[in-house]
Amino acid sequence: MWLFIIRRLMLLVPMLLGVSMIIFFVLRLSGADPAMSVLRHANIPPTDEAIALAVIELGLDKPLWEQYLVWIGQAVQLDFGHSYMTGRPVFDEIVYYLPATLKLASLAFVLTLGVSIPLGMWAARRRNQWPDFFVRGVSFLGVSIPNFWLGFMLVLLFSVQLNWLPPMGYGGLSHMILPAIAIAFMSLCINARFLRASMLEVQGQRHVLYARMRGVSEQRIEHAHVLRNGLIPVVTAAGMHIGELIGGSLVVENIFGWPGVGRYAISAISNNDYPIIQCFTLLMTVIFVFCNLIIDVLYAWLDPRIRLGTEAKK
Amino acid sequence: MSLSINNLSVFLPTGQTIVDNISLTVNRGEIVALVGASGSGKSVAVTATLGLLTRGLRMTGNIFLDNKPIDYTHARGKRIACIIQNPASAFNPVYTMKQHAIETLKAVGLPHDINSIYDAMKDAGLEDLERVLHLYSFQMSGGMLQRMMLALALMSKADYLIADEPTTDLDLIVQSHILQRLKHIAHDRKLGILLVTHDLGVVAKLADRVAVMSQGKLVDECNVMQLFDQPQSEAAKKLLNAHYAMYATDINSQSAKASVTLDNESKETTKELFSA
Amino acid sequence: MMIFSIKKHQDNKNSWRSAIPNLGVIISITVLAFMMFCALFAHWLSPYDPSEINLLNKLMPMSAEHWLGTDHLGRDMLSRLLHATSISLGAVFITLLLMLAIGISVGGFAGFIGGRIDQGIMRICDVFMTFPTVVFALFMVAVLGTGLTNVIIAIAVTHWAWYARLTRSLVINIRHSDYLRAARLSGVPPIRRFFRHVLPSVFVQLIVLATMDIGHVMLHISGLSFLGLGVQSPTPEWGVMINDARQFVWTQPALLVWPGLCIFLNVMAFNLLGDALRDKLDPNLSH
Repeated sequence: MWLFIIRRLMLLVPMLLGVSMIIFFVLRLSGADPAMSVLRHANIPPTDEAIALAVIELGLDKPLWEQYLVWIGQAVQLDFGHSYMTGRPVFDEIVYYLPATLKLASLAFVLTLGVSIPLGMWAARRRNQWPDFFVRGVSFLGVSIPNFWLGFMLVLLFSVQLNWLPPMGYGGLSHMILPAIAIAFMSLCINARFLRASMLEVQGQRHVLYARMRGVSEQRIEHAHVLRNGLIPVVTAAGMHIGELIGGSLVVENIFGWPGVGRYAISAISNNDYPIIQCFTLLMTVIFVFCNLIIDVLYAWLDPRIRLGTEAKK
Repeated sequence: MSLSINNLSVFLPTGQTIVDNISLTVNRGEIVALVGASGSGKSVAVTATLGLLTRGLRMTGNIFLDNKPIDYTHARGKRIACIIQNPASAFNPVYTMKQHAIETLKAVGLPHDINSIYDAMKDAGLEDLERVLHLYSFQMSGGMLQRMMLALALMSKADYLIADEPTTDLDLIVQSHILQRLKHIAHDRKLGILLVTHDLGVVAKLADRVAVMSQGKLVDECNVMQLFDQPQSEAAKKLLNAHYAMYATDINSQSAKASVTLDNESKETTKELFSA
Repeated sequence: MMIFSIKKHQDNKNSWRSAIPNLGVIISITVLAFMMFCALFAHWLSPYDPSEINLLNKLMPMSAEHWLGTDHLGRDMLSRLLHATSISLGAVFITLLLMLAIGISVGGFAGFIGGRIDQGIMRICDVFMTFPTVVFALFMVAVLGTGLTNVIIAIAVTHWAWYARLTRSLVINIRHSDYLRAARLSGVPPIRRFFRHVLPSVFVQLIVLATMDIGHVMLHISGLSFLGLGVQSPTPEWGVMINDARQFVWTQPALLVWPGLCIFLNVMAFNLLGDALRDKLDPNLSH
């Protein structure tokens, strides 16, 4: 198991290096001019002199490769430079806003799994009866709803009409539940359908029949065989959901005035604040990659075929 | 003390008959072979006996276990054990053999004591038990898995065993080994075995009685010697012919005719000829 | 073998259920045809000019003159929605074409060439797939600037890698098939082999996946526009319209509902179509 984890970690490093290269080079090769940006934000008129000074200060006169190495070297030490807008260290600012986003995304993740798994099981158990149609119907609709629009509809219903929950702001569960639902809903629906299909497929497999033949109780079959095996592909898919949930948080935060890193990043984009953009993209990707690693480890733990590789018969 | 299938019929949702009114009894201590070509309904009859028909199939008739109507929850695993073909797909790939064994013992209500597991595995002909118990199904060969299945059947201490094509996917050496174990165990524990197969060699080796199925109906039921010497039904004759065609002998040949008049010992020899 | 014939029979028995995909195809095609009709003829169908501002008429509810009311600048909602249809659908199709073009050429090339170039291209694809979609789209918008064209490019850049991978594996499958071996043995030149033999079956599977993906793309485009990074006001686009209507969630919520409903119906129609196509053409595909 540890060997598996180490192997996966080693594969990560070149991936992340590649990611950082794309972030750096795409940004610089796109014609973005950090020198101009800095001057503009500092309200210094862009005379030739000023530009030349800024270029030297920012190290822009060095060859691009060298600049990349400088950047990545600093990044590893968690130094991402300073915001053009505020002048404060980028990393500190992002880390200030990040926990709020992670809280929201985590709640959305818990909601996704916590609701989709029981629903999927229920639909599979009552195949072709009303719970099944209900789950499949709602899932189908849910996959088509834009998360930001759902956010507004929820606010419309629960805040405007019913006045049960606050429409905006930072706080505890009552402030988090509506945005979390908006973020999670689509992934929840996809997952429920997927689990249902997965469980139905397992139900038809021979080892379930053989278990019945051996006298294993229906209860145990449902949990230890159908669910246990049915969850495996769902766990793998969870990795994709995390990406959607993180992305969803970034958009939905906007609606609910949730002070997360999404709002911060979006204003940075509008302002061409490149250090923030680079740090944000890299950081979110790293978080995503590590979440996927955890999912992969979980997958290997659940499925011995992955851990051991389908070895040749002895 | 017997397992009896009485007037069992199985219908498709359309009403079409897959199994047509078959009746069969397996007594403890005897091996009854259920033979027939593919598609004759043998496997369906077996799943019906255990109450495990696929959704949509309907059955009529009844199953009696020891002269009482069968209660599936109490019979499956505990009174009637099973081994089925294609053992690779019968085990759950995420569980080790040990987990399967413990699950089986728990299901039949026996204490999950490692010694009873070891004993059953030894009886089934497995070696290196400690290592095997920690293996997953995809790490084991077909022969080993089939033996493990047999071990699971044995450790449940059931009185009856239904073996559905137990040797079909195995090579000849492994086949022969497993059949020998089966015969030995059946004799030892006085098991009542219902052996479903299309291979007459297997029938010759193990069976005491033979029932022949064709297109869902039971067309012949006789003593095993009778099947080989004086087959009555068309279906039985066809099967025999096919078997001979494989081994290049002819039912009408002189040697075969001569074998009819041989005494018991020679009949044994003739039977062994078929099981080559 | 018995079990197989029994299962087949059960499927036939549930034929009224297998009619539902057919029903799905009918519904989705109807909705999509309607939407495309609106998109193509928005100019003629709209009762008003979508950018005609009339502050006296602002925030009117549904009425005979304005079937869906007016927005905060007095512009007719119905006209705006109709024009938004053309913009959104147009953007989605262009994005799709771009994604497919890049993905298929890169993936097809990699699969056909094989060897180290193939491995190298696949590593690049892997790196692109490592980014979470929205984050990468935001990054690309930061790089390229705001505006619809840039959003289209941004989303195409985030998604192409999937199509490249798929195309490559399909091409490899076919390359190793006996069918193609026969063509090669009979002396058909490589390029003709690629276009005539490999590409058609690859296309079908790609079309199915692309249709299932359209909904996704539409949601991303309207999402980015909602954030103010895509289409800019006053151009009508569903995401932008929702953003404009935010402040009126207490006073005139209908302004929020209509554009979102349009997105929802469109995406649902595409998903229905994608599901039905997948069931018909390749039931083995699972997304």
